[in-house]
Amino acid sequence: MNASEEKDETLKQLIEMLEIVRKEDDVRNILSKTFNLRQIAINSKLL
Amino acid sequence: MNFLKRIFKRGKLPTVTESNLKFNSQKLNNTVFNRSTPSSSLEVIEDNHVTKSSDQSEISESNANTLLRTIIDSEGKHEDIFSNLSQISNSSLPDQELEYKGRITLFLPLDEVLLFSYIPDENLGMHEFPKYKEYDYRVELPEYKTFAFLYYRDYLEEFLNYIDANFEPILYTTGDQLYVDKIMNLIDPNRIFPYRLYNKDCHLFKNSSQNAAEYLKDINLFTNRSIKKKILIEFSPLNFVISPDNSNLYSNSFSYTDRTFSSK
Repeated sequence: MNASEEKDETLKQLIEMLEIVRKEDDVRNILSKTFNLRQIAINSKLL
Repeated sequence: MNFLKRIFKRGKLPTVTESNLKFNSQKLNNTVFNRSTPSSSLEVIEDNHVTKSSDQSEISESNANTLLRTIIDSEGKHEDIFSNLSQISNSSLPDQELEYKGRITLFLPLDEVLLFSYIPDENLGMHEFPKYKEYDYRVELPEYKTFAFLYYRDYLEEFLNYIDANFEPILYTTGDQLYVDKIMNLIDPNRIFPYRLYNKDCHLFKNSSQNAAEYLKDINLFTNRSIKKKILIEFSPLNFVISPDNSNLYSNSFSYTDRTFSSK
């Protein structure tokens, strides 16, 4: 099997995101603004 | 996704493909919105809307509600999503234990976030077998007369240690309990995840027009955790329908065929 030297950084990136969010008193403050899934859903006519 | 994967990970009913489900804000109509469809989670959703951020002000209250409650199938037919959800009778979580007090509750899926599993398909054989990484573990599943190869994400151990130290991590999957427990007992023998939630803890969303169904997660069911302190990490957009302000859509950059795998 071929193996890439590049590592998957996804979980590291998730840690970085969580490190920001966990300092919030209300996670919705940052999740709704940063990721804004409600707006994404509307803009992209999601799913 | 092959048939066996659907059984283990997404329940025993045919899966609604994402492409078949469309939100369409252009086709919102009040008739759908005004339907009376009580749900245990609906009150919390309304609360989410009340506290929505200012940059969402262009979205009217009724439109947002209608969007969340309406899907449009491939034929353009409106369906009220809550009218197609089965009610869950006993899904709950014990109160937060002392060691987690004050922490955010982090609801995490298993497959595709922590790891990938590959279950050979009896019809298609091993054609999807990953090319770029050796599997980390082979799990025998005699109950299903098959087995699974597990491919852990890079930095999995580091990630588990991080969430253990900083969150109340709860596994929330749409998978079958037997399958999920087998895998979790391997990767989490010390129970970093104090609780595991399975497909029986999800709503069952039925798309009547296509005679299909999909499990749908709802973190609002667990009312003994503050809505301010709950995050749903999710790779399937359908699952943040119920709690968009508490969700992080997880972009999947990890697949069987790309070259983001590391050598073992």
